Amino acid sequence: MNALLLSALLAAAPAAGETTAIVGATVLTVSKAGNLEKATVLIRDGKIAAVGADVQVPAGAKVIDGAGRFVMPGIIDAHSHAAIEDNVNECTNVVTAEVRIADVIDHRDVNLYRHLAGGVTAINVLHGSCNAIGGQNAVLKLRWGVDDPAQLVFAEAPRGIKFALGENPKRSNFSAPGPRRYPATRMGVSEVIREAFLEAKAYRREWQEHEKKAKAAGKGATAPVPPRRDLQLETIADILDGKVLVHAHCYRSDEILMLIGLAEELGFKVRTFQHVLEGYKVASEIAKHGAGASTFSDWWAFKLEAHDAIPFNAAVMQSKGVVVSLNSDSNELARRLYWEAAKAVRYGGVPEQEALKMITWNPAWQLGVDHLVGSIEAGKQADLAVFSAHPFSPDARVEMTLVDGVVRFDRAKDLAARSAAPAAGGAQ
Amino acid sequence: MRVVLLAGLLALAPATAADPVVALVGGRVLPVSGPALEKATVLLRGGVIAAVGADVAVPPGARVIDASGLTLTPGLIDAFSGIGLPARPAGGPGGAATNAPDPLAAEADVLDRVKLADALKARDAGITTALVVVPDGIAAGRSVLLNLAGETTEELVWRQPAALHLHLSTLRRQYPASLMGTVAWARQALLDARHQQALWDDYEREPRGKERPRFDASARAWQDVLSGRLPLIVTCSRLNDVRRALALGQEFGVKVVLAGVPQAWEVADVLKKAGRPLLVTTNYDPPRAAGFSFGGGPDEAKEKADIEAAERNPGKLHAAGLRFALVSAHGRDFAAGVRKAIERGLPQEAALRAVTLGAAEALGIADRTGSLEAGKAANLVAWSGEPFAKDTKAKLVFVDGERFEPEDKPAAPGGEGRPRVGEEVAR
Amino acid sequence: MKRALAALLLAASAAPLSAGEATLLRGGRVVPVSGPALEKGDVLIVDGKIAAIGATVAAPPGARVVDVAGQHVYPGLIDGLNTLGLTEISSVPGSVDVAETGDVNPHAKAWIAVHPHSDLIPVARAAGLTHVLSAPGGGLVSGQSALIRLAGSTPASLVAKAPAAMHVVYPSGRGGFDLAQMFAEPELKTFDERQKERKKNQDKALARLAELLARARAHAAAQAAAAAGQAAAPELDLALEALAPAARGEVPVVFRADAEDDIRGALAFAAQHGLKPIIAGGLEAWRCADELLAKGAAVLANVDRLPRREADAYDAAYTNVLALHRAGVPFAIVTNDPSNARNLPFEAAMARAYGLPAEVALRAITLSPAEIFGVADSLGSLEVGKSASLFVASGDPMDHRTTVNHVFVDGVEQSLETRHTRLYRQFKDRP
Repeated sequence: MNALLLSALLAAAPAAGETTAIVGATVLTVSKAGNLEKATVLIRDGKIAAVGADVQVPAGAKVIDGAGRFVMPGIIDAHSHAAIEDNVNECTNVVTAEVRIADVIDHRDVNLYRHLAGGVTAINVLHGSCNAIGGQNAVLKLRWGVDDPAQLVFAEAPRGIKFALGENPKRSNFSAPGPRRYPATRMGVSEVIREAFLEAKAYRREWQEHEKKAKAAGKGATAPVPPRRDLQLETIADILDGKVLVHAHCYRSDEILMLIGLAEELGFKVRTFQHVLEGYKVASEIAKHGAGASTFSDWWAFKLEAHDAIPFNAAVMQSKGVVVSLNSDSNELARRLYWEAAKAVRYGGVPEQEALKMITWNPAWQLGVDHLVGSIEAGKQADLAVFSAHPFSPDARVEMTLVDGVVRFDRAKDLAARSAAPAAGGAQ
Repeated sequence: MRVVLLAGLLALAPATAADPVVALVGGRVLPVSGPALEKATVLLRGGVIAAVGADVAVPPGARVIDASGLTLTPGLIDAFSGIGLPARPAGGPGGAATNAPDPLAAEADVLDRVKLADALKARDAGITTALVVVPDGIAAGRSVLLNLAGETTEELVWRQPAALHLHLSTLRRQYPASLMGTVAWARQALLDARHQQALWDDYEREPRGKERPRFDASARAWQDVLSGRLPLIVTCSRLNDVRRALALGQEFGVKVVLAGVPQAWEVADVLKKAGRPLLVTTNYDPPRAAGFSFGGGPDEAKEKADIEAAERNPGKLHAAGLRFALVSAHGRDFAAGVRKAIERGLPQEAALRAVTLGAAEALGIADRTGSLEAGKAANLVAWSGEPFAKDTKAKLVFVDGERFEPEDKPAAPGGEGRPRVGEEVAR
Repeated sequence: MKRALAALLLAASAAPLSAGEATLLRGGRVVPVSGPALEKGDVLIVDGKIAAIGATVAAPPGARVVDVAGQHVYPGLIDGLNTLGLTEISSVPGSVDVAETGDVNPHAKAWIAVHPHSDLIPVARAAGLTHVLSAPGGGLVSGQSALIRLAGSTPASLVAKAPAAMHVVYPSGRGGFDLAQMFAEPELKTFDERQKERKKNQDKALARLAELLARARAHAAAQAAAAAGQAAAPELDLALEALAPAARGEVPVVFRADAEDDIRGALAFAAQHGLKPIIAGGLEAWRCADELLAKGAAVLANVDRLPRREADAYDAAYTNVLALHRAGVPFAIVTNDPSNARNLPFEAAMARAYGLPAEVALRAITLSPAEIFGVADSLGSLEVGKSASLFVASGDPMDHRTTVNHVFVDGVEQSLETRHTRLYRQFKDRP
């Protein structure tokens, strides 16, 4: 990023005990409290200290005028590939559970700033969909301006992993030179996953037996040599132990049912079905398994397995009890997820607060952080997006985005910075 | 004091056929370890520097070379080079995903691939010492440290193997084909090395009743890194590769050396804290595949800015108080790269240090080379002018005391009548 | 068998709901785009055309009267750049007819292959789109576009105007996305080498294009001479024959160009060769608005895009058309997305949220594209005498919460059923 612009737009870390208050705004809490008119959101130490129409602003607090503005919880994108350095996929093997997005985060990817300018405060950065079992994802908070990629990591978020079903792991739409990679059918995809889990179970047993032996032998010369650590099998074993959330890329209803069956057979849970464009056909089964669904609002027809995609998907799944989120899978679309949520109102008549939930609380639940973010409630982390109008309105523009109470995007500041660097463009 | 005395004695002993002495007199001497000396003498006895100073007495029988008008510096050390390896169009480490013959064979020795004649050509540019690294692959072999005088490649060897290498790069259509795959691969390789070590230790302690463990050459090579017998040099082409390399080192208790690091100045504080040797690239624009984008092609403004930032990197690192080696990193013209660093803010003397004593320090050989000091290897260059200046040529190069005269290539046709510099004079 | 299949396809295509000669839309808010809104008014449609607009218009005998009280009447939306009709499922080659083999295909004509029974057409239509520019893509000279109506059951009945334009991918010399290249051994070059190569490739392609234009003109002249009996007929060359009208400046040439230097290059090339340029894409049009104005070129711009350069303002693509508006450069907002052309009003909304006046944003998806493609005499606004291609919505079409309740194409009301509504009905109540 342009050095001048960059330095102008970096946020300073908050001083401990700093208090900020957004006053006089319409607050869309996305909680039981609903929408509050002329309300105040009080932020202390990066957390929401209080929210309501009658909240007293303590002396010395930094006040942000919210008059005429709409405050909503920071938007959470449950399917992102932003901030990944180099390849999004480790495509060479069909199982790559050992690779970690956390190893390759680029904290200076300008898309993070652009996301903030669309009200996004957290993203689930996923491995690509090349493999039946892909790499481990990283949940990031968009603390734009930190100098160490590790500081972006949403530390409280549980580990997760990407699975992929259907055309992508089949490599249906690509023709790489050389022999065709296994699997080339949905049948093969299923067997790859089954085999990986059975191997992981054997691996887990091997370690359990070793630990028993080691305990018996005690320390010293007779201590047995531990088995080889295999980072791939270890990760899959961690899925079985419930330590790693499965985010499974899928399109067709049959493959969704396939993975549910496989999960129940092998003893693991699917946390979210990603894309899940035919989820509406098997919504009850998804709900029964207890998985969430993270879908596109209206993408369809880009490949055969997306031909039955309908924009009513989110509404139907939601009506059957599935926790639904709307994601971007795109650095461009991530900047207007608030309008993606509005499409849930348009297609299927989802109530506005439920639609907002699809980009806030629901993805938070899907990532295992709903107790920390996803709604505006006292005690939660102060991840907030401040809009010029109701986020569903055609005049809606993000004016300010806060992460942990720190203003990480401020349109006024951005405009000021660009008038100092006019080559960057963007009309005033 | 004792060193000086010893050096003095050495210097004064007469030269004989078995113990030849060369005296370079009257030149401007930049010893790097100390201040510049005008019209000084450098005395070489065999392959070792015997004395350096303004008033060094030339012993009888010495071959005296008039170095007036020349600038004498230690021989240049290219601490991360492709010297002697087949020329390749590749982009240098990290710049491109090109597969080496065996891109994951940590145990392969680069020495086996060095071509003597090609290696010796580097002397023409004043390079006397080089760490030779295979640029391709991920862990494509152990490098060798060469001193560029000898009749066979083996005769050049100063340290073999010199280091184990990990390029934070990717392979094409072969695991690892992503940066995250590369990190995961390295992590698993180190774990496997540890595991193999444990199996063998257990077996060697009590072989009775146990199956012979499998021998794994790659794991063996990595064990040298785990035990500290060999440094692990990690090639970093992205800003965050620095943290990646340091984190990997920390995870496995391995002390890493960082190579490449074209944006290192941005993490100067991290590097200061880590205190690890740095081999900083002068290959600012390694050839790479054209990028693409969905919106109007690659961001050329950024590409250009990144190249310029890499050119300013050495100067900024110096300004931040870091010590480092400047390396060719398989660039086409090392001197031009160093010159660019100087143009972009690296002081001349810091540049010279970075390719001599600084490089020797980074490689752990500063006790034997890198400066013009009595007792160090007789590696030196007599330059026609200011080192690295555009028209400056290496007129005389000494490696282990052996004299070489680089061809003056742009000389007049025939070249017979050209004036000889550094002509020996009788005294 | 073939006949049976054809019959099946015919049966599957939705028949128009009403083909009545006169329809009166009564009591709606009428937004003509060409003038101020009528807060409460009637629109009379007779024989496919708008016969009257007014506070109260009497319904002729036998006219169908549609009560649209509380609703809003707008001219049909026009997407000025798309491949609708030429593609069904983008990853399935058998369903895609966008790019012909080779890179010089001026004789590829969109109106030959637009598929009237595409599942994508009703989806776009149900959002209020009545017309779309359907254009071939790819190569150097991609082919000729047609402005198509989103109603009809033969390709001919879809055509509103053909040819609409000749389409050229301006040769930037820069690498575009190429799947084949992903697997090829890359050629490694330094920055300067890459720039030189780019320039070389570009010069070569431009020289080729210039030569083609010259040959097309010469070919046409030779044909004219032959027709006048002055010379023998030139050798048959369909490509040159098809290119001639564009080469003579009679048909506009849409240059696909995003980068500033490519846009400037396209404008200069067009001026040099007497072409009538339109810029498609135009991501960096804001960087050369003056030049666009000077050359009289319109821009077909996507709004929902990322800035081209890392150092650009984050909203550079959102405010691109605002800069054009301020400079007086004509433009249309387009989706260039066949499956989601329905999002056309939302692209306009994004430009609006970032400063484009709401009425200009609406114009950019109605009257402006009609003007750019020379059909503003019949399309793009609600005016007496114009085509009754319009829609009735619950509110502002740029608001996602608005629903579209009626769509008329040339006076004929269209079904709002789509593949999506059918599947929705089929599954929404599945236990």
